[in-house]
Amino acid sequence: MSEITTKNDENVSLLENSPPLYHSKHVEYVETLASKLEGSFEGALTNHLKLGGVYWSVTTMCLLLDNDMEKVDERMGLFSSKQDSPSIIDWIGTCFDDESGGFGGDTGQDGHITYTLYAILILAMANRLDMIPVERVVKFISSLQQADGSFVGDSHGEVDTRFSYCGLASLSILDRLDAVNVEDAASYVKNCRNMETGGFGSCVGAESHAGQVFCCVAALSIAKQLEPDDVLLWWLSERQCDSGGLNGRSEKQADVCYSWWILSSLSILGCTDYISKEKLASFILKAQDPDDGGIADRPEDMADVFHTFFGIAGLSLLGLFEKSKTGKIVGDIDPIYAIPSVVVQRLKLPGQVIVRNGQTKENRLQQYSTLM
Amino acid sequence: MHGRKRTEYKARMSDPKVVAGLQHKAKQWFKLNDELINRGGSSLELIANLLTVNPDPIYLWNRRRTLLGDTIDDLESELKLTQTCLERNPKAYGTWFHRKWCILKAGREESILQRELALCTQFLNLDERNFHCWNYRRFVVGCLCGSMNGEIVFHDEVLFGSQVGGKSSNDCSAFQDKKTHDLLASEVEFTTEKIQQNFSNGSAFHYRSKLLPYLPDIFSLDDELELIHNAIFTEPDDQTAWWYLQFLLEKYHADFDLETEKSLLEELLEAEGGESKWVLLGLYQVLRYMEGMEENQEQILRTLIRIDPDRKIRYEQMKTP
Repeated sequence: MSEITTKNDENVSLLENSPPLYHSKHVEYVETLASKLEGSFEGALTNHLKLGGVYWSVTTMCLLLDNDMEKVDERMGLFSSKQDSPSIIDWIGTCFDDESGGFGGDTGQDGHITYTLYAILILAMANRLDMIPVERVVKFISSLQQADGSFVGDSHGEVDTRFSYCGLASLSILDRLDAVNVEDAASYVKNCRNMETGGFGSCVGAESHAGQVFCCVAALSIAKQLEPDDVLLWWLSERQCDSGGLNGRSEKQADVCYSWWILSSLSILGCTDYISKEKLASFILKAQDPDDGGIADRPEDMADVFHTFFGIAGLSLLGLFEKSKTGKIVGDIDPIYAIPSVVVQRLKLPGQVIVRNGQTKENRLQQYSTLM
Repeated sequence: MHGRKRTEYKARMSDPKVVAGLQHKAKQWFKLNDELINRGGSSLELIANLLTVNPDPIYLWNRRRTLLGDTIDDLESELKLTQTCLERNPKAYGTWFHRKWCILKAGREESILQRELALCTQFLNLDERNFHCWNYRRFVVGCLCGSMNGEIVFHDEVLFGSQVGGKSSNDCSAFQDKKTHDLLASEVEFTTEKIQQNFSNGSAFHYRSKLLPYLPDIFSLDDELELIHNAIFTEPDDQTAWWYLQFLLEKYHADFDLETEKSLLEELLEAEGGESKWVLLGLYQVLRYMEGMEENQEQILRTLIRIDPDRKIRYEQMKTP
């Protein structure tokens, strides 16, 4: 792997035979995203997940600007109002749904456990968790836990292990895990394990899928209920395709977003070296838009902020930037909470990771308890 | 967000006609949405109009359910709406959930549920790996078994979990009935059909792995191995059947004729020139349950390290006892 010799604003060469990281193009892509979407049909179709979009944008920007929050604010209006729009943190306030006690995807939308987590994540990065009406949010989340330990997304009752993760991660950041039954949450997640893959599905009996695997492994990590699982590690390692990209299930197409769902799981379980990091990095780099920035689901496809985030996060987890002579090109992201490691460290968030015999714990995971 | 070719998409977006058309759609959307969110507009028709354009927003389905209230007067209307939405986007969580919610409220009778099962078959013909649809199918099966919330519980074990919360689960003693048994058996048949259509169907194999352990009178290890062998002898590089073999070994290794299985896989390996990764992995799994095979296992790992170097660290870990 070639060493990094150029700094922030230029294209950064990371690997031979791969495109460089179009660092400044990605910064610009994220910066101009909001104005492009505003009033557009694509904006209309994705308006319900605007808070998610803002989370992907802000986290990507934090990673690209190595957590220089002043610079992030300059680019995105995180704290300060930009062009007559409220600041991001003020706008998040308007997403609070007073009826449910949770946050919705945009102003006026119903509170949901997913958007509640996104709000908490962004405010954690902004170091403004004081803006969360904690008691209301805690009450909302704890009302969503079912008798069997599972979580629903809102009062309408959709059950999914994604919501187990959203619930536990939210409460963990708010330091209110006491508000739910963490043991029951963990045992429900474990009941969602499938013997043929070691993986997890959306509910008991559902098929293993990479997205659900991340949610379940991270949830178990927060609950400190991880168990060694050779079959799962095997299944995770076999997600890497010939293209170097990762897929989400057997015989499906590789997609950049699995760079996160699979890689973060491997990171928590101490086995990111069970795949070829170079080949994955190459796949991600090839999925970039060299003209307008952003990253797509696979090479030659149209970029979007979702895949841009997961691509950058994946590259961060791959640790390609550690050899930099001139400082970090992309900051560290935490595999459990999916926010910059510095934020997790500042908040002293709890979690558990597995470290193989003879391996040393990654720097970014130092604060977590270890299951040997 | 997935699968749009960049050059084509950018070309389309620079066509002023396309842009104007989309702007018009956007205006329509924002107007209707504004009416719903900000002006207290609430009619089933308004919500249906929004949903047929975009079935993803959860708040739209929520508002609809709030309007429908506790009893659904017109189930057919909800089924028709969700079907239209599914035909446009068969992977929208909100649509499938709404359908489940409606069925639980007003559709838990045999004829309706059988139609729902047929809907699943139809959608799985379009996309046999659509996990939303497989989950919905399991939900329908649970309802057909008599469950109040779509789950199936057997002797304190949850076979298929509840997908709709807020309801108390009940131990489905109906599971003991012949009817339920026959229904689950016919689901196994369904997975057989899907596998025979295309053995590269991890979703069907998965479902099978969940059903058979509860149907010992139907389960035949030989039949399962035949299914696997057909797949792996046709296409040894397709990993689908190999995960199912892993499952069978883990759960039923005591019932295996391991020697026979070993020979079969060695035969396949030879036919593949000795270097087929998945055959090697499958053989390795079989050897794990046999005595005195350490040397064979080491040999396999050495080959795997050579032919599958991307995963060599995992193979090296497997070497150390």
